[in-house]
Amino acid sequence: MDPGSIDAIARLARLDLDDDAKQRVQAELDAILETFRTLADVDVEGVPPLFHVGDPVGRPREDEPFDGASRDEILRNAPATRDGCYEVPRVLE
Amino acid sequence: MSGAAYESVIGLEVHVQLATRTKLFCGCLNVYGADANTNVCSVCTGQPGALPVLNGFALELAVRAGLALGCAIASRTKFDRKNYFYPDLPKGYQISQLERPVNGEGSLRFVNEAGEERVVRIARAHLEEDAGKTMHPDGDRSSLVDLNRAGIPLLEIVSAPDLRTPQEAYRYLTELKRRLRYARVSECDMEKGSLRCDANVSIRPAGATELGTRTEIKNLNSFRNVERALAHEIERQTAVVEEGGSVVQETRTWREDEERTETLRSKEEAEDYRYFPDPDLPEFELEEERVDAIRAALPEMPDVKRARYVGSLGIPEATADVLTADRDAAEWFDACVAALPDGGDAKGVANAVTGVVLALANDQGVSIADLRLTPERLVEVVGLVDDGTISRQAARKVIAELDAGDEAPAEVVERLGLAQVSDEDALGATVDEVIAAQEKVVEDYRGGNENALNALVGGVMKATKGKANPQLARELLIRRLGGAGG
Ligand SMILES: [Zn+2]
Repeated sequence: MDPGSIDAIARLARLDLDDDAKQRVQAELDAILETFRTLADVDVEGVPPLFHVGDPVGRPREDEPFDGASRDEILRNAPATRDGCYEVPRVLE
Repeated sequence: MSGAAYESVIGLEVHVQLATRTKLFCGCLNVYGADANTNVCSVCTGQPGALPVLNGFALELAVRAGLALGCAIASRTKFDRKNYFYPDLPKGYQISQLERPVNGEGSLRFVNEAGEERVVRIARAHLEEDAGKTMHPDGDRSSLVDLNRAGIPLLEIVSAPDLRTPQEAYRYLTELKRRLRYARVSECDMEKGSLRCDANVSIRPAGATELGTRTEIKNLNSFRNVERALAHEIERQTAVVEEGGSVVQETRTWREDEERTETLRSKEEAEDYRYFPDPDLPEFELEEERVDAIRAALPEMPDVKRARYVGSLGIPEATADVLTADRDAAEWFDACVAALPDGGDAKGVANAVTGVVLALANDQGVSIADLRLTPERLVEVVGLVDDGTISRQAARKVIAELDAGDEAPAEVVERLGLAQVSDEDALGATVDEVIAAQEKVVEDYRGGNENALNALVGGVMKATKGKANPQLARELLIRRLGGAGG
């Protein structure tokens, strides 16, 4: 995998990697890609695609409300809160 | 260069929130306007280990919408993850559908601003979850996030680039909203955000088949603004091309206050969403019998209703448009027609519904379906007008009274003394008095002044405190004064 691809993936994942980390990640990703190349070599001619390893067909639930979590319970996990909301660094469109 | 040298190519992406009780993948309530973060759980806030379970009714509403838009319904549908980072997207991905949407190709038929019938293709209509809401308080260094909206079911309806003018885009949206409301899929209320729209637009030399470079416009908060923003964007693109430049592919935002679009982000910054199948969700089957049952339960669609009103009931087109604009009004009118005696006055009833009953509901701020007045009572009132018992004016009063209480129409007419004097002898005496009292006007009439007759009819109406049957009064006057206009 070339350094440009590593930079692009890091940007998409919002990761700020230094050069050492980039080199380490590049080696790891190369190993992962190698494994998938092995899988890609398997002859799957005539085998239908598998999208899911569990139940092949899901059963939807009824449109019935349940007791969710309280606001306090949920916001307890947030690093910062204000006025019943998550407080995050300002994001501008 | 004239505007006709270029034509515009427009496609719309519409998101509607589905009218379920609960969210798409959890049992939190799907409601508007609750206190921040009070309809949340571990699933819709993206807590580690929480798993989504599909809401079956959301799937049904998606199919219903697809059928109302003539879409091919998938026999199997599945969900994919769309990855991006934003504070209102707690999992770091949105569950959406890329490869196997619930609804494939369909079409929407409407009449454009030139009166031509247009058929716009629908490319697809897929299910996905809504994101939360991010607020940016003025002058604050933080943004605040409310996740009540996160996980509300959305249907994204993507049109093919078949629209040619901003006015067509407006009409497409109006018809789309009408059909979705008929199918009770969504409230489609832009003010509450239950319908949102993004527009793609490009221009090309008129008659060309190749597509030009397009821009996407966001932040459109009303159908009128979609129309306005498209008109401005087409003007801007045309100016760029005419000055020898080329349009840049980018996302633009509509600035309503300044009446213009401006760059939001360019293609270089465009996201790469890295879609992949969501391993937390299996595929779902849409059996043919189930789809058939949903189809069978769909109401008559507005275009079919309108054609029936005009064709077999003889209702004027403009009146039929008003009646079919809203499903409740159309069904209320249908109930009237069902209550009509053979050969009854469907046109008179249609006029009463559009002219009086809808105004009554509007004044009260309720749906026509929630009025106390019933279709059966209205039909009785129209019958009273048709047989000359009461005047059209009096009918308005009777209708208002019927909606305020539980009386029968005849009782209201009696209590308020609204019956017209249609008896020739009784009215004859008054007519004679008016003729005797208004010699000058009578002379004018005999001298050929048609308007003088109206004044005399007015005199009779005044003398009877409005209870005279005006047609009969006119007839009696003409008979006594010897023919029309002397
Ligand atoms: Zn939830």
